[in-house]
Amino acid sequence: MGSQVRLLIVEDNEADAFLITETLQPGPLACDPVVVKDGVEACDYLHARAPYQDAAQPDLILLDMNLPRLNGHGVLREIRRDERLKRIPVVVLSSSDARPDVEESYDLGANCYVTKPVGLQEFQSRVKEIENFWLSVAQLP
Amino acid sequence: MLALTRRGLAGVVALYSGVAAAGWMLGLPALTSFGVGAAKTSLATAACAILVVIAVIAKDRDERTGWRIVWMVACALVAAISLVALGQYALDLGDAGYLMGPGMGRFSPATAVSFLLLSGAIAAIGAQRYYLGAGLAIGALMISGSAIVGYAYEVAALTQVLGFSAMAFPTALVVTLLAMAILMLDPKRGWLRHVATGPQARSAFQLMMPVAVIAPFVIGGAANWLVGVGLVGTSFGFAAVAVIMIITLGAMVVVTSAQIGRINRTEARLVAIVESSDDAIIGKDLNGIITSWNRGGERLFGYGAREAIGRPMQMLIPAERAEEETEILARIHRKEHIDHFETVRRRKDGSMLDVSITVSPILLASGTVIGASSIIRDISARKLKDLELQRSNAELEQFAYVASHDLQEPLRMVANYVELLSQRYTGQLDERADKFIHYASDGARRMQQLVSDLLAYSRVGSQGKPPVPVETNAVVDRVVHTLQRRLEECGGMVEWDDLPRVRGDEVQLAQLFQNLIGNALKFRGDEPPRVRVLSEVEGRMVRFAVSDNGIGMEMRFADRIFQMFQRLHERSAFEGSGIGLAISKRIVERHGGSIRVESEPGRGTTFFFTLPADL
Repeated sequence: MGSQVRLLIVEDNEADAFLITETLQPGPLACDPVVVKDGVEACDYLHARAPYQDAAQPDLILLDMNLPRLNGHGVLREIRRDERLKRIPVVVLSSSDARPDVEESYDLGANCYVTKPVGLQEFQSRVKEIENFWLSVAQLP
Repeated sequence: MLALTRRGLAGVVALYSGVAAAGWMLGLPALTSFGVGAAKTSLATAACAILVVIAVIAKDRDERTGWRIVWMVACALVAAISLVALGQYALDLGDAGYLMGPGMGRFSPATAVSFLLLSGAIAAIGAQRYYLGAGLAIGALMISGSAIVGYAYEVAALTQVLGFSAMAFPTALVVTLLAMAILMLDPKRGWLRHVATGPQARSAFQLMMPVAVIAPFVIGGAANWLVGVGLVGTSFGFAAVAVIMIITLGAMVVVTSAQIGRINRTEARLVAIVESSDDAIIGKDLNGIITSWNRGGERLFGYGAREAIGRPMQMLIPAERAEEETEILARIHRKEHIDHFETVRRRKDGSMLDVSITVSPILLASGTVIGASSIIRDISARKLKDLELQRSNAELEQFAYVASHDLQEPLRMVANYVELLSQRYTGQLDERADKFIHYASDGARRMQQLVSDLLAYSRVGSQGKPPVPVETNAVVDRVVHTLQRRLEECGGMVEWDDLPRVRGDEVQLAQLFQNLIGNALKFRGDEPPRVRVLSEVEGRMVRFAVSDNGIGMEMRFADRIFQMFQRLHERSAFEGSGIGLAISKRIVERHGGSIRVESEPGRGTTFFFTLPADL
């Protein structure tokens, strides 16, 4: 892949965000993930509103469900409604495995739903699998 | 017994009347008279007597159509004959009373009045006017009784009322017997029901009635004779009769009062039991009309006994439950009991009351249902407690769920970063630091297990599904399939009967069997584990047994193993946090069953539990 892939991580839990970026960095496909901390910030970033006037549209979004101000479902709805954003693949990464959460995410157009595993190694390998699938296997739009 | 006496009386009358009638027909007047006095039983009297006998017998079989016409016609004929005779006497005709011709005896006015009364009595009883009927029969009895006493005491005034021709002695006996037979008609509904219901009333009547009739008759007769033959003076005779009568009547009053007193005391005790009961004890008839009402009823519902008695039970039942009473009455008709039926009833002020109702049919000795007794208990306090318990359980469950759920996030953070620390820095610090990291990491991992177990435990209540029919065979089959690898590793085997269908939450039942079978495999002994699942239907429940040949345990631990996070063994010997059996117990109890264990060290363990059968 010639150009770098832009990844947006929407995650309020700094520790998890850090763990994801930590895991991604030594990966084969270098990319520079952007982290935002809640649903409203995510929308501001996606619409290039202040303070993200210079933000470029991401190629892939890792979205947490449980977010302050505007939750993951709200963000997902916003993305799928917008002509410019609706094709961006969204991977929901959530600690909830409750059926209603999973089903609503797919209803709203999530591309896949992944639960955060309990152990560190599992967490790391799952993030790696996501990275590997979306950045090497899948063809991004 | 009564019916037999009645038929006997009628039979005797019919026999004598037949003989008398034959006497007239065959010109043998000797057959028409016996005993004292010259008067003969006329042919008309014999005919009337036979008609009354027919009417009595027909009335007896009244339930079947056809017989009704018979007694009606017979009564009408008797009344007509009597009225014709009385008419003749009233018109003062010379041949008054010779109804069947001059040679067939004279039908006296007293006899005519007696038969008029007898036919009227039968007709009145037929029209369900029991007291009128009894009164008319007793009227006839008084006329015939007077005649008998008149003959016995040789007092013509009593036999020849108003100077008309005398009622023959046999006729007086016939009328007496017929009046008695009529008084015995319909003992269940007539006046006799007051004296024939209940053993004490019957024995009092049977003892006193003959005394009341015979004693004055004999005493009077004796005094009359003594005065007649001049042994005693008239005044002395009357005085003696008075004294003996006082003693006799006095004795009867004392006996009767003592008997009533005894009954009163028993009744007072029973009334006290009923009245002092905290529960409402209500009697009702087969139409659901309230017949008795105790103080408990007043306390529960606000109606006093005077207000409630005579009104329908339905007044206590909320409109939307109206059909309950219909169902209860139907079951009472079938002599069935209703046991601790929990429902809602309405108070006088319109408020609702949670109650438990026990209804029993009231049966006579003959087995006939005459009503029902309802014992109604106020269970509102218990219901409230149940509700509070339910609420506090739900709150606790919610707390456990939220706590464990919300604990997971920060715990995951701790665990992940301690792990990351160990990944990146093990061997780069000193040995002690490595140890610290190891313990921190181990503790975090264990706590994660506990929190996730707690979550699983709280989910038994919060995420359970409503019960549906479940094929237990299929569930066990699936569980054994998922345990296949573990079974192969230890050479274990699971056998099961043809297991009956139950009602429950399929996911939880699978978890239950998986916990118990998994437990059996985990605590295996030296031999390859053999697990057996047996079942037995016990009424509305199915009793299951899951037994193994494992290491077993001492029975003093039997309660502990079902508690959360209780383990009998060193963590290093067997893994697991000790939640499996606690969850199993919760699943069984949520299904309305119970679970227990039987075990012996070295011999194996059997878990018994019950689940609702799918009937």
